[in-house]
Parts: sequence; C-alpha cells; structure tokens
Amino acid sequence: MNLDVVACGVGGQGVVTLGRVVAGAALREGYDVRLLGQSGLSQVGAPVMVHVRIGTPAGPSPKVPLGTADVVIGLERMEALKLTPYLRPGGTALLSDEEVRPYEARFRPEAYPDRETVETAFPAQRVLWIPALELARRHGSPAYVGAVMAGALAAVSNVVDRDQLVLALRAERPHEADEEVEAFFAGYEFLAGTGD
Amino acid sequence: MSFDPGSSPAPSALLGVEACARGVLEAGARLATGYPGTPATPAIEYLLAQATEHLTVEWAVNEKVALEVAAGHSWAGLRSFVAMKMSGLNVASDTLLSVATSGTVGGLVVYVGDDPGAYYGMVEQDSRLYARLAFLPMLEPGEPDEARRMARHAFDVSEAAGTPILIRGTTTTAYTWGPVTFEPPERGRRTPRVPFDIDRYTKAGAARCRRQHREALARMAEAARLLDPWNQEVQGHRDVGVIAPASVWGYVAEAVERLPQNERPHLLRIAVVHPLPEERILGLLSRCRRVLVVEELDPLIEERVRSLAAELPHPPRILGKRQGLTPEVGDLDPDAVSAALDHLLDREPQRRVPRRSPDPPPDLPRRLLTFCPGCPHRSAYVALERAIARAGYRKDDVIVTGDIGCTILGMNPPHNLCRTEVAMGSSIAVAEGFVRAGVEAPVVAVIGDSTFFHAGIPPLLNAASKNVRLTVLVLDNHHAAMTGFQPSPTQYRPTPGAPAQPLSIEELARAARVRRVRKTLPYFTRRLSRVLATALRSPGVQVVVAEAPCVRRSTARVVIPYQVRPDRCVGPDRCRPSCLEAVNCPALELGDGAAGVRIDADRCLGCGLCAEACPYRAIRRRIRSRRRLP
Repeated sequence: MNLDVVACGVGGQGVVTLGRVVAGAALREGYDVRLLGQSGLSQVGAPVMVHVRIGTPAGPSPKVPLGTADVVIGLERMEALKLTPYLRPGGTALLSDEEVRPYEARFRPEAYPDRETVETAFPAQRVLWIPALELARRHGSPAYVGAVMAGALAAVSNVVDRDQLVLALRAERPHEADEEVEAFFAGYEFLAGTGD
Repeated sequence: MSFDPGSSPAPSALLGVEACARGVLEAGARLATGYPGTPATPAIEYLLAQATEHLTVEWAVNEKVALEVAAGHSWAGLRSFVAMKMSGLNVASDTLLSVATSGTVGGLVVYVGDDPGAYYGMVEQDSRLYARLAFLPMLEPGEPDEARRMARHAFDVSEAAGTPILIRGTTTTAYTWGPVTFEPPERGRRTPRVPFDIDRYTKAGAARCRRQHREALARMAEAARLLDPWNQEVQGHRDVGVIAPASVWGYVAEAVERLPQNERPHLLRIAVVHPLPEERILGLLSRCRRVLVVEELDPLIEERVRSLAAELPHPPRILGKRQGLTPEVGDLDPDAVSAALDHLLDREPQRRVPRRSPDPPPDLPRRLLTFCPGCPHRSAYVALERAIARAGYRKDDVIVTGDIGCTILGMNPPHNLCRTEVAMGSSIAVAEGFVRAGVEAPVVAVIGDSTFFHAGIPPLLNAASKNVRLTVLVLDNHHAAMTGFQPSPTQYRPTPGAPAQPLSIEELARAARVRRVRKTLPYFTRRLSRVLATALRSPGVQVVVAEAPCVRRSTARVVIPYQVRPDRCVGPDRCRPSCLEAVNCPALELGDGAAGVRIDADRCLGCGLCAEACPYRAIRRRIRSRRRLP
C-alpha cells in the first residue's frame, strides 16, 4: 500500500511538524518513508511545502510527481492553490479555511482567493474543508492546527494507523500537553465517516 | 534502497544532511565546525546535540575561519569536519585551494550545501566546480543512509589518499528525511602530532608549489580509485543509456520504474561527481546509440560525456541540456526527468498530467517576507525612515544598502529601504562605493551582528580609515536568526555553559577610529531616529548599534498584547498611512467587514510600534489580556 501526500501552508503554522508526524507514524508502522520539507528560513509567514511518500518501498523520487498525490493538505487558503497540480484525479484535498493574508492583499483584497476559487481548482477531486484553526483554538492553542489536520488525514486514509499518528505526534511534540492530542481527535471526528 | 520493515525494530530517520553528520560522528571525528547557512545548517546543529567529550562542535565566525581551524586540526592528525552553504565555500575558497595542495593527515571532510532552485535566496551556483578548481574529490549522496555511510568512508579515504574530500548536498537531498541505520562510532586518533614539513605546509617558492600541485592531482586520482565503488551501473535491455548523479537519481529511478523490463536503458548512477568515473562512462557509451545525461544546474557531466564520446569510433548521440531537455536554472523534479526520458526513448509523453508549474497563478498577491511580530528590526527600520525625514531628506534620496540575513527584509514593504544585497558584510563597502561615486545625500549600510562579525569588519576599517561620510546601522539581535537562531559572537562562550564573553561592536568600531559610535534600543524608536538623524547629517563614518535580542529568542515570560479600540479606529481606507501600511506587522489584520484593524492577540508580542503609528490613538495595551509565554 502506498500513500503520497503533499502539504503546504505558511511558516509558523506547523507544516513541517505535520509532515514529520505523518512520516514518523508510517516509519513506526514499518513502512519505508521519504519526507521532503522545503523550508529552513525561520521567517514567520514564508510559504512552506512538504512531500511525504510512504510505501514498501516508498517512491524513489523525494518529490511527489504531478498529478499523483493521494491526499493534499492545505493549511492556508491561498497556499492551497499550489497543491492543485499534485493531487491525482479522485484524490482528496483536506483544506483548512485559515487565511494568512499577504501584505499585498490589503491593497487588492479581491485578488485573495475565496473558497469557491479554491474549490474550482480541484474539479475532479474531493475537497473537504476543516475549521482547523477554530478546532485548534478550542483545544488550547492555534499552534495545534497541524495536529487537527493530521487527525483529519487519519479519518480519510487508513494507510497510516490513527494510533501510530498519535504516538508520532507525542514523539514529535514532547513538550505539548494532552490538549494537542485532543485537537488531533477533534480533526479526526470532524471527518469521521468520510474515509475510504 | 530496499527497506525491510522487519529488520529495524527501532526505526530511526534523519535528514540527508543530518545523516551525513551522523557519519562524521561514527567516523570518530574530533572536531566539527562551520557557519550557519541553509541548506547546510542542520549538519552542525545535529552534531551540537550529540557532542561528547571526544567531539568538539562549534560555530565559527565565518566559513574561512572554520576551514582553517579544521585544516590545522587535520594536520595535527585528528579527524575534522566542516559544513557550510555554497556561498560559504566561496568565502572559504582561498583556503580550500591552499589546503588542497598541502593535503591532509587526519581525515578532513568538507560538506557544502548547494541550493538548486535558490529556495533560500543567494546566487544559484554549482559548487561541483570547486572540486575541479581545487583538485579535490567530491561525493554526492542521494539517500540519507547513503550520506551517512559515505561520510564515514570519506574519512578513511581522506587519510589513505591524503586529500580533503568534499561532500555536496543539494537542498533536496539535504532536506529529504528517511530511514537511517546507526552504527557505533569509531574511536579515532586522539593525541595531536604536528610534523615540521615546510615543503608541504608552506607556499613560498615556485618549485615547492608546482610539486604540491602535482601531488594534489595524484592524491585526487588515488582517492577517486578508492571511492569508485560508490558509483553504480545497472545493465539495461536497449541500446540507450542514462547517466545521472546521485542527487537527482530518485527522479531517474521514478521514471525508469514505470518502464517494462525490456524497455529499460543502461544506467550509470554517479556518486563521485569529481573526478568523473571515465572508464564506466566509456563502457556505457560503447554499448549505446543514444545517451541521456540528467543533472541539476551546470552541464558538467554532460560536457565530459560529450568529450569522452568523441573518442569512440562510433560515438552515441548525447542528449541533455544542449538540446534543452533539462534546464540550467532551477532544480529538477520527477516530471521534468520523465519528459527527458520520453525524449531518449523517442516516444510520446507517457504521463497525461498537465505540465503545469506547481507555482500558483501569477495574479495572486505575492507573499513577501516580513519581520516577525515584535521583531526589533522592524522598529529600527521605522526609526530609520523617520530619521531620514527628520534630517530633512526625502526617502528616495537616501541610499540604503542591505546585507545578508533577516536585516535584508528592510527591502520589502512597508520599509522599501534596502536597495542592494551582495554578500556577507558587503553593505558597508558597497555603500562606500556609492559615496565615492559622488552621491550627495547620506548613504546608510544596514547589517546584522552575525554578518558584521563574519565579514563586516574589514569594510568598516576601510571606510573609517578613509573618513568616508557613511552611516553604518548595526541591528544587533545576538543571533544569526534567519538560519535558526545560532548565537553570534555577541554571546560567545568558551565552553557550553560557561559565562558569555561577548564581543562589543561599539568597542571594535571605536578601535577602528569611527567618528561617532552610538547604541540604543530599537524599540525606543524616537530616540533611535534622533540618533540616526544626527548620524545622517554628520561627516565621517558613523556607527549606530540598535541592540535587542531576537524576539524569537527573547527571555520575556509575559506579553501584554495591544488591542484596537473599534470606536476610535477609522479603518485603513480612511487612514494614511494606516498602521497596516506603516508597520506591516503580521499580527495586524483587517477586521471583519473591512471596518477597521484587528490585532491577533495570539501573535502580538507587545512591541507597541503600531500604537505609536496610529494617529487616532486607537491602539492601546490591555493588561487584562496579558499572556504567559511557554
């Protein structure tokens, strides 16, 4: 069983952590894993994208080929448009409706995409919106958005086991409290029943 | 690589660049040093977390110094490791060539991080050219575990052949995280012995230098022989072939895997990218009618393959960058390589994906980098803008040169101040150039503390000794922040845990006979703008240090965020310049319905810059909403 995921957002949202959690869970389950995180600037607000390849063995290319990702995860509405070339027909887009508006959008507010624009960019795929920021805040911190989205992934894909994701989340964020795991389950439950 | 889930009870994984550092640890190296620079930073960060009493790990003041420390350490017989980004290898290149011609005693391995795609800014360069320039063998790992084994082996070969060895990572191989096997570290030699051998370690004298040159070439050839097993060949079933370095091999493998067995080309995976395995290349060429060369950036392998092919009686056709099959700019991806392979096999494109760039549509608003909420640099740039007005100049008249690191973000809105960014420390000398050209308005160089210590001192001496009219604004946040908050010399400690022995930028400036040296907190924007305005009006070199620790490394435990009073805020449409335009803090956002401005209480760190900018006094501190920081 193979799973290719591409996730993106902006610096500070926890995109790299999300990738680590998914890849770490797959590694615990005995899969071969490649995780490519194109980030490194510590700058808050820079676009960040990660590619996760899971399998036995994982695909040899560290980048997911265009049109082949099974699931894409967008943590920011405008950045989510970068995911459209990656998602395969019939794949699932898990999108957080969070907005991080760039400076330029203040002077051209109409240029910032609305939900409909993003949805039409995925014409042959399933789009699932998750109120990740709201769920994260409700469980203690806006920093838990990545955990919410990891929970959402567990609801739509059974390649990586939900409990392994929780273990990987705890391992990746040892200083965070149980609230973050609750945020994970909030994301899971929000989508529970929509999975394959 | 194949992966057997049953063989690894405690799976571990590392980034490619960390795995390389793991190999350094396992090889029993006694010293690891470098200067932070993405994508090489995690090599030293990983070792800092693993440091033992047998392994000294430290950040050096710059890459040239790091390489020199490592060279001396190697010449004393002990294994040494240096890591830097490609720009850093440029800084260290003078030393690199000299050390290469003297050779090594203890193993010396130099990791260089190239950035095809220029994801982190700076010149997109191909550092394989340094291997050729410096007569050095260069290895290129693909997979993380390969990086570990390769680094470990590189130390053995460095000692056996007596030459430093370069390992080149790319952004993609460095930041690919995957399974790694751990082996116990070797013990390594621990007592120094420094021989007296001026024929080897000095350069004065033509005969001596020519002999060193000859010996360097011989050492490189010997190392290449020992390293050759890292190169891999796979026999194919057709009279076509693909040659590619390990750094892009994943893309080739992805495309070849989709071919039926009897369609697969002969493959040569090159892990020793300098000197190239010519016998293997000739062997593949002699079996093929058409050969595709895939590599990122410069066509270095392709050119060598072309010249080798010309030696054959029936040369195959060589495909590559010359036909435009892959670009010389930017990084590759599986789709570009798949398309090039279709061309080699002379068939219709196999993948029915829209060949769309993964970039979003061009009419979207750009996401320009800006300072973090509460960053002292934002306050300093706002103060500089006010100082320009206070000194009686228009913003466009005053020339501001920028430098490497977070400080360059003064080039972006709303500041739009920095006009140039050249190399570490260059802001000061480039500013001097503008003054020398006859610019009459003030010229200001803005530089961070780590950048200043790295390469800003010589240009400051140059300008001060010539009494050039120039203001140097040093934004001292005690860190190389953009690369991940590494300590700058303003907080160096002789050993971990020992008290800091901070270097003083002001004392250095005074020792250089700078006319006036002032220091202030950037958050005191009124005071800083007064100090800067005086500097702009004054003759000679003026140094202003704006000192406050990086807000992401602040020791503050409680934050009192600001809030907007909706009854007073008139909204950004009726306010010029509004706080959004004047401050551009990521914690400021348009309220619902675009009525007014809102402050994100989770992100505000209470610097107060927006409150100061508000003409309606609509932004106030709220003690009630104070929050504790983790």
